[in-house]
Amino acid sequence: MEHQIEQLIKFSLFFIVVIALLLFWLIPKTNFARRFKMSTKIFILTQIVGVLCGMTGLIVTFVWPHLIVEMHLWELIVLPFALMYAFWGLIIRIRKNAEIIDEKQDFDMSIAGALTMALTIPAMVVMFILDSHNMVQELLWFPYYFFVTIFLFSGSILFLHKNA
Amino acid sequence: MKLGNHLKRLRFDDNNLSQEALAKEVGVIRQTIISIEKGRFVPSTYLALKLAKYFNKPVEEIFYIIEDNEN
Repeated sequence: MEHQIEQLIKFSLFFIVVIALLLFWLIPKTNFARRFKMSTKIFILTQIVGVLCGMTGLIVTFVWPHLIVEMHLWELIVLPFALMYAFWGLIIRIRKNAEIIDEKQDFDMSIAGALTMALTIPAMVVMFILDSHNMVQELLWFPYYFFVTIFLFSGSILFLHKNA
Repeated sequence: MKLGNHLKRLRFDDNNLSQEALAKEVGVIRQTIISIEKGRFVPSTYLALKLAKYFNKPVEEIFYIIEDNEN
């Protein structure tokens, strides 16, 4: 049963990625491309998706650690976040201009990057201490670090944007 | 030293121009104008010049430096 679910997840991931790549290549060649614009809503939605993906990933990493890698759940969880940034890439491709966010949003993302770099260190230290005292069962470092980073980065941007 | 500005006054003098409308005129989002007015964000030279061009005033009449002993 688990094997079938794994196969289904792998197929779904492959299918979604292929469709996304196809749309990424095809949409700029159509008149439909004019409708694709960056907006504050898309910017905020990307960060909300990032927070949700990060939080979900962290929960699954701790509750079902044996499934997060074996069942390709981590790829499934991060997919919406990846698709949102792929959408940004599509807009850049259509506009032929990498400046799709304004300078304040760019500034917020830079600060969020620095905050994330600073905050992931204590996050990893906490896990290292818990793990060395055998207080965490089957800790998977990479998924934990990955989802902490996504959560902190997107959360920081949302916080900075809200407190403009 | 901090950067002060007269943006809010200039908006009100300009027929109560909204932050949203000003943001659209100079190609930024509303939060950017809010942040500038609150002194939480220092605009780039380019954005400062665009604001000056919109209000038809020199940059120095929109932005000014607040010395530390004036805080």
